Amino acid sequence: MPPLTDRYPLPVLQDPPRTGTAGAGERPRAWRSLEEWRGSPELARAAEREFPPGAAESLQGLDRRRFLQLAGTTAALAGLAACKKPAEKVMPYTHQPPDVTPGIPNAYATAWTPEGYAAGLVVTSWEGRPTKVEGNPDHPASLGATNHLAQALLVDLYDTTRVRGVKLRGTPRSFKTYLEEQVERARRLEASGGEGLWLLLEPSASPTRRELLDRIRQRFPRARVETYHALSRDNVHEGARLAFGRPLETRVRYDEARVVLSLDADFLTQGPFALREAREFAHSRMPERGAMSRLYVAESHFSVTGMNADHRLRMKPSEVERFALAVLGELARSHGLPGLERFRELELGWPEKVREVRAVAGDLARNGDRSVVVAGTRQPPRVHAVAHALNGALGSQKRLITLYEPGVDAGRGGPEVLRELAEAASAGRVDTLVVTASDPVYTAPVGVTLGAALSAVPNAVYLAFREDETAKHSAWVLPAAHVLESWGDTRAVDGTASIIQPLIQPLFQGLTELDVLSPFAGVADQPPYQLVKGYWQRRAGAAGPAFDDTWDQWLAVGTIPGTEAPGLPATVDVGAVDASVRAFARKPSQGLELNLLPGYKVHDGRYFHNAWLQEMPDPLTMLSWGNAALLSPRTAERLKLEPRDKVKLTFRGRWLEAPVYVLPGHADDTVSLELGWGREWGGDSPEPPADLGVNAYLLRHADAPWFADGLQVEKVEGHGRYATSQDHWSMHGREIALQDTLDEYEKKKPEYLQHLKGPVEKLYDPFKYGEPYQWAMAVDLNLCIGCGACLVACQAENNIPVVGREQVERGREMYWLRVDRYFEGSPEEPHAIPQPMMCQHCEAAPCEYVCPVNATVHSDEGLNEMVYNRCIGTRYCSNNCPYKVRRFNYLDYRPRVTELEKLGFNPDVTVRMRGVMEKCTYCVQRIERARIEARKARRPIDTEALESACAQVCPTEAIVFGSLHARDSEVAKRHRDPRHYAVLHELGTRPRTAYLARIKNPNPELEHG
Amino acid sequence: MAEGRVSETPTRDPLEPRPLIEGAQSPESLTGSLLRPIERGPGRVWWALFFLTLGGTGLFAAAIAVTLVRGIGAWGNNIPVAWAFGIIDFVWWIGFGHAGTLISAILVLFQQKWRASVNRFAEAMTLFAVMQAGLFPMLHLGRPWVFYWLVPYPSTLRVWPQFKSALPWDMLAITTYFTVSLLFWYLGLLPDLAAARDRAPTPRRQFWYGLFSLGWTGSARHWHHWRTGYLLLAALATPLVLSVHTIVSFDFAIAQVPGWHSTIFPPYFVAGAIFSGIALVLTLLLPVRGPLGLHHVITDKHVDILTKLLLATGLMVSYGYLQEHFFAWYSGDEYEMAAYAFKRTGTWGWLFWLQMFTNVLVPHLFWFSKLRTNLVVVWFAALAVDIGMWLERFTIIVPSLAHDFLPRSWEHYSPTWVDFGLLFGSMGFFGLLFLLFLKFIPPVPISEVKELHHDLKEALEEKERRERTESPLREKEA
Repeated sequence: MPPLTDRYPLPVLQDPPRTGTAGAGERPRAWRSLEEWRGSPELARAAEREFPPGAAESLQGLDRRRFLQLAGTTAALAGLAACKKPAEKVMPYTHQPPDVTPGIPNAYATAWTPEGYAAGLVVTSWEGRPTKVEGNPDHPASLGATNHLAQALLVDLYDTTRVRGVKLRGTPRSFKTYLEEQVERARRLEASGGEGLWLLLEPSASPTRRELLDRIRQRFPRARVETYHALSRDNVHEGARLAFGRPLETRVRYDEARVVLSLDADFLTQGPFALREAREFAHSRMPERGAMSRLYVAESHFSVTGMNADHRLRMKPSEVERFALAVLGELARSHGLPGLERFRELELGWPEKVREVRAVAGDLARNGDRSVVVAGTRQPPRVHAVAHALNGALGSQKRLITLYEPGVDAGRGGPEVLRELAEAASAGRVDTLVVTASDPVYTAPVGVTLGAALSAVPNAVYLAFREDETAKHSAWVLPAAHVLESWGDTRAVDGTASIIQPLIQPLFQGLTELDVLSPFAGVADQPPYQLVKGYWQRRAGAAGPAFDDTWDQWLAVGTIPGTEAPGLPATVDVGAVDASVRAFARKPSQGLELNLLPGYKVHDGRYFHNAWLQEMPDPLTMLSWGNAALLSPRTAERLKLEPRDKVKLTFRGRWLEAPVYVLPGHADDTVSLELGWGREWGGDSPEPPADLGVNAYLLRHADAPWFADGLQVEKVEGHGRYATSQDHWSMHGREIALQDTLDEYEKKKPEYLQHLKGPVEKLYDPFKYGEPYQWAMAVDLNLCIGCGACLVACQAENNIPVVGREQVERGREMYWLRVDRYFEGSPEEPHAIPQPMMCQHCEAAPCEYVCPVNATVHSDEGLNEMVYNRCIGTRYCSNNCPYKVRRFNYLDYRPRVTELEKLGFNPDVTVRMRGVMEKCTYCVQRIERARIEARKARRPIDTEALESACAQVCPTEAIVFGSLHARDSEVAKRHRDPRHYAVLHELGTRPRTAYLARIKNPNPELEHG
Repeated sequence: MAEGRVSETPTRDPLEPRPLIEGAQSPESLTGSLLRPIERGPGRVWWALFFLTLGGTGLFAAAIAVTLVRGIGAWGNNIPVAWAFGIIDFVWWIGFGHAGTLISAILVLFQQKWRASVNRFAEAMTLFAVMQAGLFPMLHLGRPWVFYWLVPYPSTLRVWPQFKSALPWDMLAITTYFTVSLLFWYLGLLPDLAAARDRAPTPRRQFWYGLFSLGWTGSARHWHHWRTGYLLLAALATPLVLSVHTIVSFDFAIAQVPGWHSTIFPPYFVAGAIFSGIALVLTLLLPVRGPLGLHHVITDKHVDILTKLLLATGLMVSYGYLQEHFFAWYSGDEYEMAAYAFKRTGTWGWLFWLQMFTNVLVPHLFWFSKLRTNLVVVWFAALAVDIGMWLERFTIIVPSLAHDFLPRSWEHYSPTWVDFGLLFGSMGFFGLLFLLFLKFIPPVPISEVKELHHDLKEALEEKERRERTESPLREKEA
């Protein structure tokens, strides 16, 4: 991957000469590229030329604090100083900081912590306003990519509905009061050894937090320190405990794998290493490199990973466990894998699935240590243990798997914790409760009346991002700082540590978890910055300027070198697994099963208020602004349900009403429902207040957190409402998103898809493109997993408005890039094919000749350009666009944007007014910035380093962007690839975006019959 | 009129051609009877209709205001259906305009005398329909305030319209059409305005009619110039009948949308326009004939001719429909075939079949002479065609857009109240203008009718003279 931010070639930052350490060769703190960070002399020269003497000179005597203040640009130190010290206020630039040039963005490395583990980020900041989140190419869990959630972080940052200021039972208090009171209370609690002190924390791999907790545990031996997450990784840890005797995190090298069996594991989008594993998986799917792995997915609902399966084994969620055991038995019996002898007797009597079981087991055995079995977090520990046992026996545990010590607290973090807390609190045994976990009252399972219990706690402290259900019941509500406002540290699964540095001063006096915990750890006088830095100073064993230097380097790179943990050796305790397998009592699943899913966009509900994620179409259902009860076509038919009918779902005596969505490929007799919905959309923009979706937590039981049978479905009066941006799931036999099997492709390779590529007959000679740069894009459908990160990245980069549910229902969503999803095959067993679709920049663009006012024209570099100022809004171009990628501002979507949200706009991209057409520009602003920089440096544009926002964010590098005239570039190579084709080639539009056909590698044993 | 019918023979010879002017008329009686509608005060029905249409105009104004304030988003349009009611209404109205020009210009050149008594009517209808039509493309713009960018004028922006697109030509066609129609209509009005001036009961009326009659005295020189000018304008207007709707059809034909991209569109659109125009003439003519006392000049003969024209153009339109669907099938193009199949059987299939009924089947009634003169049948048939032609534009525009190349883009379309407000509001505005026309302007060209009367009388005298002179000769020969 080319360097991340080369397109922002700023002048190289001169490190302020520091006493004693001044001199050449020092590295900049804020960097745009690794070259720059490494101090490429060429870039340095370029920078010197660009800025006249004096302009780029740094201020003399700039100390560390001053630098950090400037690095956050809005003086992040003021945030950590909070109320304990006089705040360091941000002033307009009297002297312009050396690393901030108005109009030129900076990029800073930081990290965020989905599911407790680190994912490295590089955030673009314009004069102190973070505007765009990218992945950190140097971070092992990111490799330069992010998921859709990270792309939407900015929406939460600039959300005006966040909690503002510290409150005690609704009355504003200062943070100082909080600290004083808690210090006092901690002193009193100390006497009783912490009896009555509960901490309910968000899972986190922060070493500093761990140290604080250790201190708290020492100080209060009887305190309860628990982590809680509604979508906890308990099953992973418990499964490892079962197999290895201790909780471990598993990291799989999918690029080496030949056969993967996923047991309900959506490993391409879920899990702390998903971004990297997705890329590695993609690397195992390159037919031109001779590598084609085969993926089996046993699952009930259609997940993103299921969308990429060669064979999707559709079954009820509870049957996945049975399937795992059947494969185990088959491998032990028919293939005699060493170490599995004791499972030979395992016979489940499952005639319907015997063919699949045989085929999968055979394939796994054939590929030995290059086949791997992975289990999903929703599956019980036994499935994980079986997966571990299988990997051990196949040998892949040695070859493909690395096991790590969990960075997060591996204790139980699921619903049982809440039950205990509720019991203790109701009994009056909790005096002080500190909650930093995300909204446990809302996510609590049925039967746990946490709200009332919380109200009974005299000193309940809740670090709240929003005024949610938990905040309503807590005595103290502290405003939580956004991750982009926080100081902290975190670790990736492989142990790599990163410092989280703030991009901006907390907008609403936000506090971090460390702030909240500090009084209990006896460090109330230390702000998080000092805590983090102090911790790492002690670990580095250095002090003074030498450490400052190292520290600055860590901040610049975004990771702390040398912190990767070695993989742990572990052997599967087959006996324990056997005992567990023997304990498996298959009770036949009765009737319909309720299947609860983690929210793809809202996660556990914490991103519910994020408008970008709300509007983003779900990769499979294409639903926006809500969830629905997902059913298979056959089950819907059996229950006589039509799409958009309203059903009453009754489970163990409780019920809710949900709209019906018929999803092809869904398991029969199962109703899937995403968690995290059904709250009130409170903001005024862009949706009027209303309940969006249904709250599946109302059916969630602690003993059945994910799925269980016994669901009753009954049709009720009325229509369910949902907004979907794709009504038609079939391609109707048209050649749009193409998919072929590996064998077919190999057979037809020389003239593969000849009818969809090459020149088309024209009456006139086509224009000769002579300019040195010919911009083009290539989308490899074989690499695209359909996760949708590109869609949100495009929205963030190009200031694309959110239009709201009603407008989506009307078909007026504004996405410049959409990810189309087509199903192929029967509605019961379809293949799903995602296809990112954006302006194709046709060389013979149909939109151009119909525009009456020359508002859309072609550049000699092959761009189809849209001139907003000239557009009068006839919409003729959209009619004539066969790809329908043009978007029209039917209404003025701008007045709904709050002043705060405007800070997140990309200043390089025009905000469009009502009545004009807009569409993908191939990120022309990035091209032009690169051109300006190149012109200044008198060098050609480095087309390899130039990336569109979608290409940059793509975890699997499915989208590439560049110039066709750079013959060796990836995009040019892909345009020559035998798999490439043009969508709607026969229309003669000659698109600049090439698609590469998707290749499946089915198992011949399962193909026929 | 009563006095006209008195002299009529109770039984009619079926071989006798139906008269264009009924009864014994003199130039004086014609002038008197034809000026009566504007000399008379407005009746109760007129006032009722006036307030009804005024309400419609109010609705129109409200819908326009909402469109301008909120944006096109107030309509039901979306992506992919970026054109819908706005363009449908536009094409519908401009189609109506075609009958006027056809009747007044082309028939002048072909010296079809019968046109005299209906041409003013048709021209006024044209003018008002074009006024409605002209509003829609402007309202339809995302940024209507810069509509003039469609006009090639020496601009400081130094950007001209893009002439490859059909839309600047649309603009040109509509404005030209409106201008020529207005001039043609006004020129035709001059002698009648003068007549109204001369017989004006009040000084105020005399002043206004005098002002607008531009000093017409009826001298031979005036008549000479007037005739030359009228003929020239007719010659100018004639190509417009073909060009305007051809250009409108290009809006669709040059696009590559399946269902639009068809070479049959220009002739088929022109035929459809005339078809709808004649239908509207009939729709409006029949109800006002009686109350205005025009039976003697707008006779069954006129209705008969108009219905025959309706049948003829209806057959052309049917041929167009047939060809469209045939070409889609014959091309073998899967997108075209799917688009037409969707038109027939998709969401809006019922509208398509309704359109087939009104536009293909209904005109076949007029093979029968009895039905051609049954005014109730004629009126309802004409109304059906008016509606059917709106449906035709709907089934061309909406299903084609809603069902194009990528199934992902397929989207439902549903109009909003603003869409309907504009449609019905424009009808109200049209009706209002029409009522005012009936009140203030002689609805039938007096001078032309008198000329026709004169010609007919002369022809009759000529015939009688010939018979007189020939019969003695024959007798002699015998």
